[in-house]
Amino acid sequence: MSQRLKIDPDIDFVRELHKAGGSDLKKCYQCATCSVVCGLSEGSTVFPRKEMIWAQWGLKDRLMADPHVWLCHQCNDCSEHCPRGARPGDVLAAARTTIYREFAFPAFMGRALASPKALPYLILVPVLVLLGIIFSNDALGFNVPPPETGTKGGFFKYFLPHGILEMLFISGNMVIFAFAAVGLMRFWKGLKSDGSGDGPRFIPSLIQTALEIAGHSKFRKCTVNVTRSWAHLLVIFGFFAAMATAGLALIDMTLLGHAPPIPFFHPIKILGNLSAVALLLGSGTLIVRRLTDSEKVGANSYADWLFLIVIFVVSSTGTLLQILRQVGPFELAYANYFIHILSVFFLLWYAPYSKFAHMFYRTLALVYSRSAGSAARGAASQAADRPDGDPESEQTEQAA
Amino acid sequence: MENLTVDICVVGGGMAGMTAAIEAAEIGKEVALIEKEAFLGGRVARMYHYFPKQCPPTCGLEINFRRIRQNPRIHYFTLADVESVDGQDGAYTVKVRQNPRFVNEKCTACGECETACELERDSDFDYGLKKTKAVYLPHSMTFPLRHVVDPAFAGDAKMKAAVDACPVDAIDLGQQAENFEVAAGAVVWATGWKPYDAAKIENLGFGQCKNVITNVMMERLAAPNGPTEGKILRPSDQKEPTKVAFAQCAGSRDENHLPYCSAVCCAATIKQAAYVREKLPDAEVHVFYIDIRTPGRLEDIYTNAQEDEKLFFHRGKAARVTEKPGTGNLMIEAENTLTGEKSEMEVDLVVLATGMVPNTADAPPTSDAVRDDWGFLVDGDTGVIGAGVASRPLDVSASVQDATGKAMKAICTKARE
Repeated sequence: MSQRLKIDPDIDFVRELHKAGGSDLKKCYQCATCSVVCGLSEGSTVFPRKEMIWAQWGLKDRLMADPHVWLCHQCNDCSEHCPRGARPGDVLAAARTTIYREFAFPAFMGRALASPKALPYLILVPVLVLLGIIFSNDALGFNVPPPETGTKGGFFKYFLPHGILEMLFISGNMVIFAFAAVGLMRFWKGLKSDGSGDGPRFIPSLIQTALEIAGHSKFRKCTVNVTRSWAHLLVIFGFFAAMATAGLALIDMTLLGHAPPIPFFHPIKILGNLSAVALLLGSGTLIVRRLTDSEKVGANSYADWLFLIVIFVVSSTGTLLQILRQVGPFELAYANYFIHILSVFFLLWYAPYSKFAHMFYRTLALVYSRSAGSAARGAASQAADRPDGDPESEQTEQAA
Repeated sequence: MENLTVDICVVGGGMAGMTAAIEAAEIGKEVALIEKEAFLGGRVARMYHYFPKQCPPTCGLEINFRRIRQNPRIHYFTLADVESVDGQDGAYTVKVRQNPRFVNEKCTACGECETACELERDSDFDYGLKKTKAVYLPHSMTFPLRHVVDPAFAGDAKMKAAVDACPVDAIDLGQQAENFEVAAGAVVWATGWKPYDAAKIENLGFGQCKNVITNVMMERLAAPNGPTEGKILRPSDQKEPTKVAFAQCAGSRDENHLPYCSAVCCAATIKQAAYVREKLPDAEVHVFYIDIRTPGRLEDIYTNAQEDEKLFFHRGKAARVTEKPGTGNLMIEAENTLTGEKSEMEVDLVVLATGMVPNTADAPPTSDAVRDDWGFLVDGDTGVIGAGVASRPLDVSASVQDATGKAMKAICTKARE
């Protein structure tokens, strides 16, 4: 060879991938069975073989700019057929986890959500906020009136006043979305550096992508894990229905002036309860599958578990609080309500750094794949590991 | 039958076993050679050519058969199963069951019986690609040169036609199995291999698509004494293929199948690609591989093959083979790992380069024989001596060299005790 190639492997990035669930990545010997058996890898959108060698070589920049990482739903068809047990599905999942942490703003939050050691502090923050509300509202008297059992009064408002909660959520969420946007902008810029597109524009692509997600048509192509795609769809619908419920309840309370609680057969209430059922069923199924079928589910990383458990806690405490409010005892009802609000804070405020972030990154990557059209494919195939077709900056050519 | 006392007992009459037996006998040792099939020569007898010289195995086999015939110290037995091996170095007892051939030594292999016989069986020699009569000559170079009756048909009344047709009264359906013992100072175990069961590789279509065959079947198709008399024809419609694909590492280097590399399939595929290119000059050959493993001098075979402008090498394992309905043609899918593009190619015939499974994986010489994770016999200081593919995946020439070394080891074992 007349050319010598120098690559700068990012060893720390490889270690991160190991920790995030990609511990078998070194076993890959590049046979490309995975790229063929994958139901989502088609035409020239071919993965995950090239991602495997980038992961092995620690080519972090390429993985971070690669939309294909986000097309994978970790059905593990590839891992089942992998002749080496390198588990490409798990490696790609680990890459996604590592990537949204890398894009995290502020960066320390990415690290905090990755480490079980930081969990107590992450819980402590919303606990302190909520306790602050309780005590300030009550001037430290903790003078919450014990409600009568079977009351129809919205006694939770004395405990954690709705107004303050809504203000906190709305302002907090805006800050969080701004933080998330920083990471997403960085991600989008990385994707775009692959070349300009000739596909549909952003908005049409976004609509097409949203429709695709709503039907989970691609997710279901993963034939190994069909139940999982249904469970995942339930969680998504449950989540959006819950968010809509919260928004509608707010309008009902503030603009229409109805005092909570909302009657059981009110449409808003029905929507809320449907969302709770969907979330419980969905996250419950996913948790059971994780516990019982580790081969197909793949590596159980800390981030996956944390996210699933938080969703399950949000939906189960949400369901319980309706019951406890009616039947008491009120101490338990208050405790449950506290945990519910706490878990909702946890879910929303840490969204850009937890597995929640995959929703945004995946959507953006799908939009990019659509809008870039053939350009993305061209870039992807150029970026394969053939040295002489390589446009990337981390590889520098020198005369031998 | 009478019991026998020898210096060395060799189990397995393929290339490695014959070599070990001959080498030991030619320096004066008494040797028993036990073969379970009706002929000597094993897998090598089924080949069309072997590399690196690309010559047919007939001359090599013929020389060995002559050395066996001429050497009074070699006592060979065909259709003989080893039932047990007991003892230790210096004093082994090998219990052998001599199965009936149903054809005695009067047989001249004239073939009258075959003509008269109406009963048919699948030819295991041809990997099921053709049928033979129930009384048959295993192949054109069968040694000992005698017909044999498939035991499944020995009791069939229709065999009478064959018995009556024999001009020398050689067919004896009343033959019974007999047992005897071989006392030996050392035992060489050269029971060879069988091809990996390709039907287990579900994504590559063997057993589902007629025109997906294995590399050992390709040898039979190319061999003049095979089912197609040396014409390469695809099984579904007996047409000459115009585009042939080879899928390397079919079930090899794969923890779902054989985790190891069989070491010979790459060179075998290049050899077989040459069969296709010689016999069908217009045909294209496409080889899908992870990496070509042609170590040592075999690298030359690969280098020369690359000069053939109709022989294409695609870096990327063939991971799915499906039949195109109504045509018998096959769609073979792979990712080209050099360009990152996924390809789907329509071909007439797919050959799976399947690996070798040692027969010792199912049938070890003794229950305490030391084997590796995959069933190959591990070389030890004492005990039964593995030779040829019973010890590791080898090509024919390496197997011969290994057997020569193992003969030496057996001689030393006998001498030491």
